[in-house]
Amino acid sequence: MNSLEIMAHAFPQLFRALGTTVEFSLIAIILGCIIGLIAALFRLSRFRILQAISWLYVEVFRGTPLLVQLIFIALGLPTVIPLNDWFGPRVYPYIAAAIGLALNEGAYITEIIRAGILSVDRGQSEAAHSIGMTRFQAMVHIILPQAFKRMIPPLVNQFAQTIKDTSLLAPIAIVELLYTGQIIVSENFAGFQIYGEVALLYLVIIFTLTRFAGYLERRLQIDKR
Amino acid sequence: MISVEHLKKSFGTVEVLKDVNIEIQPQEVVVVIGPSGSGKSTFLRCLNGLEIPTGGKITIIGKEITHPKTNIHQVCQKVGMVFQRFNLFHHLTVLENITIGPRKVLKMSKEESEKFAMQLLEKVGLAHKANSYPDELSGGQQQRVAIARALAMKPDVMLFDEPTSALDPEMVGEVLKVMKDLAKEGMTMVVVTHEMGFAKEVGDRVLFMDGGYIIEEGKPEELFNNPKHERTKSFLGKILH
Ligand SMILES: Nc1ncnc2c1ncn2[C@@H]1O[C@H](COP(=O)(O)OP(=O)(O)O)[C@@H](O)[C@H]1O
Ligand SMILES: [Mg+2]
Repeated sequence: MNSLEIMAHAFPQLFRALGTTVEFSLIAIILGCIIGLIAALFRLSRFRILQAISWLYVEVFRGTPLLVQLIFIALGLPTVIPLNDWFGPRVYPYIAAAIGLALNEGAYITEIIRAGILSVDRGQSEAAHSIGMTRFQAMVHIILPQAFKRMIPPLVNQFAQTIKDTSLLAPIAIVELLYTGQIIVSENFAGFQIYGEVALLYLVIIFTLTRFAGYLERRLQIDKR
Repeated sequence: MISVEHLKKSFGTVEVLKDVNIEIQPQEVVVVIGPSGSGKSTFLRCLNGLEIPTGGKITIIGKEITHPKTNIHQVCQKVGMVFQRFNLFHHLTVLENITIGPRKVLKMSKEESEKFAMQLLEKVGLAHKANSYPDELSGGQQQRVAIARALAMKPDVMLFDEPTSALDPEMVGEVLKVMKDLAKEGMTMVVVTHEMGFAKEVGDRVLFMDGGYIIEEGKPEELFNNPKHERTKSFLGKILH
């Protein structure tokens, strides 16, 4: 088999694994955005305790390597809590992977959302207050819609990072794109072709994402200012 | 309508308002003048809850807003504010800027709020700009929209913080005209401005603030022509030339 044939042969299996990668990315991005929004609002709230919780969360998850976080949740926690018994030893690693990625993603998104909110001129929330809006109404109707547009570029960067980060699930035995590549190479020893193909597949989805984001940004610029 | 007693406000260790006392009657137009940094903006901001006073008592329409149990949002939605820098919502059209308060705060229907908004836009002469975005308007137009936005909440009092000082000179007139009309309709207004013409034409009373106190007050003609305090004299001397 020549190189192209090797790659074509591995393609169906890698393509299925790409599906797993995309699934984990989507879960991490969606949960991460929800967690990030909540943590950002905590951080900007008037309540010291909520601020502290948010601060601690962000510091811990940005201050330790993702791989360590994943291994801790997937392999460390079950040594003291019978998580494998509760969820089943085949299911728990998947839950651990999703939670680990989402928490890590959420910490970075917290900072992006917080910066976006703070970038909106204070006069906007003062005006909202002056027409009787509560802080919450001002946040939902006035601040976040304006912050959102400015958050798109850093968020897209972060989403791309998340997709790449899913490759760190390989060491905790999630059969995603990279791990599938490793399995194939262990059978056919064609590391150059297979890992090259794996890299190419990552490139394709990340490129698609950034293209879509560019389009979205242009659309928002035209529709609303 | 508004009663302020021994109002104090500090930022950290800096006391910006030291002891401000004033009663404002319904339909009265009060003009506030004074040097930059004398606490005029801080005074207005205390009246609509943007700043929390460090001391004293403010009562608006019978509600003491300095009382910890008072729902500040409920009282302050009846106190309209117009800012020096307009502060229109950039992501909303002119019409949406005006309807968002009535819809979200007063729970008015879309139709009703839009109908009222259009009346207000007629009044400020900008009905044809309903679907524009604020950034497409001139400063004078933006400020007129900001006035309409405040009026949409059917306020009992309107506060203006140097509403014309960020405007090019040729746009000052159009904004002052809207404010004069409002004064003539009987709106209670507190206006920080150095527009003497406005003060003379519709002002019932002028307050001169300096160093965190109201130093002097009186009818516009009286205060401008015969200021009693040295500081008022020297200030008027500076701005009238
Ligand atoms: N949020 C704030 N924090 C600290 N100092 C402030 C704040 N707002 C106003 N000040 C200070 O209070 C003083 C009075 O300000 P201001 O009320 O804006 O005066 P004016 O409107 O008469 O020019 C100024 O010295 C200003 O620096
Ligand atoms: Mg000021």
